Amino acid sequence: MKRGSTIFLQAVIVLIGIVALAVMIRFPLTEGRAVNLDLFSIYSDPFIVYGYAASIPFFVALYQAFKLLGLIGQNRVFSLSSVKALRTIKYCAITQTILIVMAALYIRIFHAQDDDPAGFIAMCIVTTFISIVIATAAAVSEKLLQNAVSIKLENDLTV
Amino acid sequence: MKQASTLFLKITLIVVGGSTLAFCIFAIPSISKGVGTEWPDLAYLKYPILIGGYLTAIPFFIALYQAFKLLTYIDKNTAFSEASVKALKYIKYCGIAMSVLYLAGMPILIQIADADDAPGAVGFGMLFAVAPLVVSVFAAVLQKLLQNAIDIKSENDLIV
Repeated sequence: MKRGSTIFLQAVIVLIGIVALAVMIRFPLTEGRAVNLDLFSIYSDPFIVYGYAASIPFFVALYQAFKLLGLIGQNRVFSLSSVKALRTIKYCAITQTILIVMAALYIRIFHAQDDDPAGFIAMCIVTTFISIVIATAAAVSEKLLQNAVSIKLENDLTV
Repeated sequence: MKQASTLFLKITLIVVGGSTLAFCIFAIPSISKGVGTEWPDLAYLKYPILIGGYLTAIPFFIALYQAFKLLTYIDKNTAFSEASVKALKYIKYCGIAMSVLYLAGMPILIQIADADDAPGAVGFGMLFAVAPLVVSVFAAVLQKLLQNAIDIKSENDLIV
């Protein structure tokens, strides 16, 4: 395996993580309600705290993808640990889907009368869809990898 | 392999392809027309936008079709075959082609961003240029892995 390509992909993952973190830290400060609040009350809003909690599966999945690329780079991809990484990514994506849907439902039901959350709901629908696609893709790759691992195991035993 | 998950991914590919097709049919001609009416001194960009837009759509659709084919192989339990390696190779080349085309189109975008005073547009353009590159590197890694798996499998088949 060429080391360069996996390192490039790992760098992309790190970049995605940093950008997501920066956006998450910066965003609450730019909201309208942040103008007259001190720093603590800005970040202690329950919905913002929920947002941070809900981002955990995203970062776990990023870390697992990083690990998977590391295994590929070390030529150890046909192993049970990479199957496990893919399975964790699948569960993370499923959890993420549920968390986003819950946030969307909360906003849909409890938003202020004069507020129109159409943009937020649209974003939720798109991200939910993306999470489901990632979960499915991870599930398919997990099955394939499991297949390859068992072929390899059989091979190693025969020789 | 469970048929349902690959079927879902296939439907996703069709939805993505359909919306891109709609973008090509409805959005690109009006963008090309709109640039001429909005900024008359940029009217000469009309045809480059039209041609560039459709040109980048070609590798995109080829890559989409190859991904669809790959899912079909997975369905038929023939994922570990030379055919799927070839599909990944095509996806890799398509990603590179798209990146090159978007980079080549950046001068157009920079002029429009200048006229519109929207530097963010250039950032988005760079994002569009880099994303296919990431996809093609990923496809290259997968291609290598698949080749690896095929080698193991054929070794296995020979022994047994």
